[in-house]
Amino acid sequence: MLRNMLIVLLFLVATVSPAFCSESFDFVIIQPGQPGTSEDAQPVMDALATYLQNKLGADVTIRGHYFNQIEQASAYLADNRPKWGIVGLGYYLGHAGALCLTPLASTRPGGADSDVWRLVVAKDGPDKWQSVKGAVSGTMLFEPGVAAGLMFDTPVAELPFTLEGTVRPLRALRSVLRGKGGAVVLDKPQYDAVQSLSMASGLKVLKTSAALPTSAVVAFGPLGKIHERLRAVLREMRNDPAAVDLLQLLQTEGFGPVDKRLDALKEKSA
Amino acid sequence: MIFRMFDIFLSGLWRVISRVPRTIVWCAVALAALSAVISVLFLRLDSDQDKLVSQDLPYQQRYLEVLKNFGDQEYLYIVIQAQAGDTGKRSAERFAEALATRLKGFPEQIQEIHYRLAAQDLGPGALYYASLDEAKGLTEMVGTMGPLATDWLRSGKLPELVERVSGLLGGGASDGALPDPALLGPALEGLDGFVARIDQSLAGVAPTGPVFDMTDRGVHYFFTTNQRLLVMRLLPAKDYGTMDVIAGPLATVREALSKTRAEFPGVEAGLTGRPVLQADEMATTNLDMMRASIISVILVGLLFMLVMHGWLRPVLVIFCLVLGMAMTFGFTTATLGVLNLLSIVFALVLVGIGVDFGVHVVMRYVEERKAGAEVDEAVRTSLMQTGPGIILGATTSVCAFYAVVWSDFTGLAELGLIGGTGILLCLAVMLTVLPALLLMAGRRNLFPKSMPQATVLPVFGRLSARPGRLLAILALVTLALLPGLFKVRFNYNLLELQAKGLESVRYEKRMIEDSDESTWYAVSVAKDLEQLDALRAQFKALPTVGKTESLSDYLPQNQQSKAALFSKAATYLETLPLQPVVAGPIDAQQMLDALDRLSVALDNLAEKLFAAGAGEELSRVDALIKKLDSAYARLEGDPTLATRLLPLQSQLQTDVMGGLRQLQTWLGAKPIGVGDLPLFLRGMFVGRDGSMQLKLIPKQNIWKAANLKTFVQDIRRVDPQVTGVPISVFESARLMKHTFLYSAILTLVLVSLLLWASSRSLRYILLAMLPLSVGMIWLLSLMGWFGLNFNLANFFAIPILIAIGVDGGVHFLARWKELRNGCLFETSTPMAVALSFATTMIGFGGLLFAHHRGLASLGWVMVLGSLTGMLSCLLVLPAVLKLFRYGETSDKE
Repeated sequence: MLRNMLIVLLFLVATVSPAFCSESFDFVIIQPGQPGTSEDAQPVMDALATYLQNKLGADVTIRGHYFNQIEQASAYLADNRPKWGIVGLGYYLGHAGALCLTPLASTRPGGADSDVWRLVVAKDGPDKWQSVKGAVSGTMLFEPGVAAGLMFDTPVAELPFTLEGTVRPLRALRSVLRGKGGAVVLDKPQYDAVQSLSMASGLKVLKTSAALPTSAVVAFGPLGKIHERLRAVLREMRNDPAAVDLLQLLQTEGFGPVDKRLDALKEKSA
Repeated sequence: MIFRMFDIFLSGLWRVISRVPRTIVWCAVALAALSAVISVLFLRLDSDQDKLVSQDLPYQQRYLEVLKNFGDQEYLYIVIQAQAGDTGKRSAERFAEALATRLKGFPEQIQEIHYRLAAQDLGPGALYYASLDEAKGLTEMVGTMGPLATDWLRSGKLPELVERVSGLLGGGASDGALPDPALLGPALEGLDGFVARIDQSLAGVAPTGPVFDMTDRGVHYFFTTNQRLLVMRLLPAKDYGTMDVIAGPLATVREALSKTRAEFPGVEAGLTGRPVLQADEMATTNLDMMRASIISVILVGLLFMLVMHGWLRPVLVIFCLVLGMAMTFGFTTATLGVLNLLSIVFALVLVGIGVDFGVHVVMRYVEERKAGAEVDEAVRTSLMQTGPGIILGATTSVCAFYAVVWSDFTGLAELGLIGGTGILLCLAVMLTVLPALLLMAGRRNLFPKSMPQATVLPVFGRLSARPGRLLAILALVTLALLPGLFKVRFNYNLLELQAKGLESVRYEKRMIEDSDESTWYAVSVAKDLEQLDALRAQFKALPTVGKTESLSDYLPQNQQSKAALFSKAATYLETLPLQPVVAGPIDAQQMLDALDRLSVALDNLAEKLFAAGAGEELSRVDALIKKLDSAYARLEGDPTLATRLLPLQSQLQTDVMGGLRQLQTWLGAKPIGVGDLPLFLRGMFVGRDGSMQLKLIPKQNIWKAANLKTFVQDIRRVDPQVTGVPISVFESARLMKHTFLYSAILTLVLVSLLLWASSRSLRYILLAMLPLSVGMIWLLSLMGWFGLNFNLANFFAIPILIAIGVDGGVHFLARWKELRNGCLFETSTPMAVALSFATTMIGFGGLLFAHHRGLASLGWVMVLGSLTGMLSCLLVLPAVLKLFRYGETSDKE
C-alpha cells in the first residue's frame, strides 16, 4: 500500500512539476565606468525585468543586476550564470572568449549605431597624441589593453602614458583644463555633452578612433529559442509607447541588429 | 402658338415704348432707386454657414440642438511647434504664455483661451489627476520629504535646508543613480531659483516674492501625444452681420501672434481652425472676386466698345443691367430680407447672363441701322425679332435657377430664387428700358454716325460652307478628345479648394499629419455618466476614431486607491507646526559648509549627466555650480554678509510652510465627482439640460471624402444620432451634389418642355439642345485631359452652362427660321451669340487668376464651358442646319 502511494506520488510530482517550474532568464548589465551603484540601479533592472517578463511570458523568470565595476561583475559571474546581458565594448572584447559571449543585438545610445572615442587635451597642451605624458583617463579605459588597441592601435605597454579607468570623467576633464592631468578619452555621448559647456572652447581633440560598435546585448553561453524571442522584443521596444521611459533610463533609443564589426574586433584583440 | 403670343405681347409693348419712352425710363429708374434705398436700409447679410442648409433636416436639427445645448465651441487653433527635447517644449510653453497674456487684454474679442491646466484650476482634488503610479511615487516622496521638511521648519535655519537639499541630491556620500529624467528638469529649475536667491541676497540684491511657488506647480500644457505640437484653443466672439464673422478677433490674434513670434524668433507657430479657414476663404474669395470683377468689367467694356462702336451703346446696356440688379436687390429685400454666403454671388450671375439680352437687342438694332432702317423701325425690328428668342432664352435660364428653389440646401435655394427672378427683371428692363433708351438716343442722333463694322462673323460662314466635311472633322476631334471624359471625377476635399500657401491651410495639414488632434470632431450626446462611459468604450474600439474627449477624461481613475495612498501620505505631515519658528541669525561657516556640500552633490550629478551624454541638463547644472561658486566666494570673502540671508531664510520658511499646507489640503481632499469639476470643464462638456457630450476625433484625415465617409458610417453604427462638423460637412456635400445633379436634370427637362411648348417639334428641341450637348461633351473631355475635376465650388457652373448653352441654340434657330435663306453668318445674330458667350468667358475668366483654388476651378469650367458652347453653337449647329436643310433648302453662302 505504502509502495503504491509512493509510486502515485512520484508520478504526480513528475507530471505536475514542469508546469510549476519556469526557466530562469536572468541578465546582467556590465558598464564599467558608468555612474551609480548596483543598489541604485536595481529599480531600473527590475523595471526592465518586469517589461521583458510581460513580453516573454510566464514560462521564464527574469531578474537583472547592474555592475559598473569589473571586480564586482567578476565576483557575481563566478557564482551565477546569467543567460544574457548588456556589456560595454571594452568588456565584451576583454571577456568574450572566457565568458562565451555571443552578440544578440546592439544598443543605440543617443540614437547612434556607432561610437567614436576622442583623445582630448587642453588647448595649450601637446599637438600630437604621442607627446601626451602622464595619465590618460576615461570611462572606457578599465580594460587598458583593449582600449589601447581600439584607440591607438598600439600595445598598451608601448604607449608613452598610462591608461586609467575613471568613474568621474568630468572631474578628469576639469583637471586637464587646469593643467593637472595628461588627457581624457571621451566617448561620443560625453563628447557631445561637453559641447554644451563653456569649457568646450578650452579643449582640443588630438586623436579620434575609428567608428566603434556601441554596447552590445550578448548571450552568455549557447543561444536558445528564448534568445531569439528576446531579440525580437528588444528590436520592437523603440516602437512601443510603454517602453519609452524604460529606454530613457537605459540610455538607449532602442536596440538594433548585431554589429558586424564586433567579430573583426574580437579577432584583432585576441 | 407661343411665338404668336410673343408677337402680340411685343407689338403691344412696342406701342407703349414708342409713345412714352421717357416715362418708361423714369419709371424704371424710380423703381430701381426705391429698390436701392430699401436694400440699403433693410437688406442684411447673414454669413452663418449653419443656415445654408434647411433647419428642418434631421442632421441639421441635431447639430443646432447640440450647439444650443453646449454652446458654440468652434475654436481658433494656435499650433505651436515644439523643438525636440525639454528646452524646445519649454520654449513652446513660454510662447503660449506670452501669447495668452497678450490675448487676455481683449476679452470682448477672445472669450476663452485654453492651452494649459494648472493644479489650482482643478481645485483641491488636483492630486487625483495623477496616475496610480504617480500617486504611489508621491506618497513615497511625501514619506521621505515631508518629515524632513517638517523637521526643518522646527529650526528654520537656512544652512540646514541647504544641507538637506544636498542630501536629497546624493550628498556626495554615494554616487547615486541618475535621477528620474522626468523629475530632473523641474528639480533643477527649482534649485536654480533657490541658489540664485542665495547669490543675489549675498550680493545685496534681494528680489521679493516666493522662492518656491506652489501655485505655479503641476501645470499641464496641451501638447499632442507625440509632444511635437502645443495646441491653444481660442473661442472668438462672432458677428454674423459681417462677411467674415470673426474679422476683429482674427486681426487681434494675428497681431498678437506676430508680436509673440518677434519675441520668440526660434519658435514656429500658426493659426488654423474652421472659423479661420472660413474667414481666410472669405478674404481670398473677396479679393479674387474683386480682382475678377475689375478685369471683366474692363475687358467686357472694351469688347462692347469694339463691337458696338463707341461708348454710348455699351453704357446703355450696362445702365439697364444696373437697373435690373437694383430691382433684384429690392426684390430680395422684400421677399427674403437677407442675403446668404451663396446668394450674394447673384450679381455675378446677372452680369454673366442678364447682359446678354441687351447685347442681342443692341446688335440687332445696329444691324438694322446699317441696313438703312430709321431709328424707330430699327428699334421695333430689334424688339420684335430678337424678343421671342430673348424671352425663350431667359426662360430657360430661369428654369435652371428656379429648379433649386425647393431644395433643402437653403443657400442654393435662395440663390435660385434671387438669380431666377433677377434674370426675369433684367429681361423686363432689356425689353422695355433699353429699347426706350435706344429710341431716345437714336432720335436725338447721339450715336456715332459711322456704323460698327465687326457685327458679323463671315469666317464661320466659310467654315460651314461644306457642312459634311466640317462635321466629320469635328466628329474626329470629338472622338480624339473623348477618353478624357472618363477621367473626370468629383473631388469633395474642401481643403483643396483653399488658396495655396495660406497659413491656416498649412497648419491644418500639419495638425492632421503630425498629431492626433483635429479641428473637426463629431459629437455624441449621453444622458448620464454611465451611458457616456459605455459610448466612449464603444467609440474607442472603432478603427476610425483616433481619440475621444469627454468629462470622463477629467474624472480621475482609481480614486479610492489614491484616496488611501493620500490618506497615508497625509500622516507624514501631521506634525507640521502651526507657525514658523523664529530661526535666528545664520552662522557664516555653517552656511559655507552647506554650500560646499551642495556643490559636491551637484558635481556628482554633473558626472552622471556627463556619462549619460545629457548635454542640456549638464549645462544647467554647470551654470548652477557657477552660481553656487559665486555665492560661496562672496560669503567666504565677507562672512558678515550672512545677515543678508535672513530675509531669504524667513521667506523660505513661509514658502515651505505654505507649500506643505497646500499639500495637506490636496492630500485631504475627497474623490472628485462631476459636480466638483472646474466650471470651465463642466461648461465644455455638460449641456444646459444636464446631458454630456463626447467629442470624437478622427484618426484619418477626414478632409478626404473616403475617410470622412468611413468615419461617419462607423460612428453612426454606434450612435445613429451622432452630429458635429464632420456629419454636417458630409451630409451637406452630398446634399449639394444631389441638388446640383437634380437641378441639372430638372433644368434639362424644363427646357425641353419649354422648347416643345414653343415649337411642338422634337427636331426643334434636339437642334436647340445640340450645341449644349456637344459643348458639354467637349467640356468634360477637355477637363479630363487638363486634370480638372468637379468640386463643390465649380459644379455650380453646370446649370449656368446649360442655360446659356440652350440660349445660343434658340437664337440661332429663331434667326435661321426668320431668314429662310441660310445666310446666318451675314447677320448680327452669330456675333451677338458669340458676344454673349464671350462676356460670360470674360466675366468668369478673371477667376482663372484667383488664389482660391475652388474659384479658379470655377473660372476654368466656366471659361472652357463657354468656349466649347460658343464653338459648338458657331460650328456644329449651322453645319447641321445646312446639312439637313432645316427650314429652307436654298444656301447662298
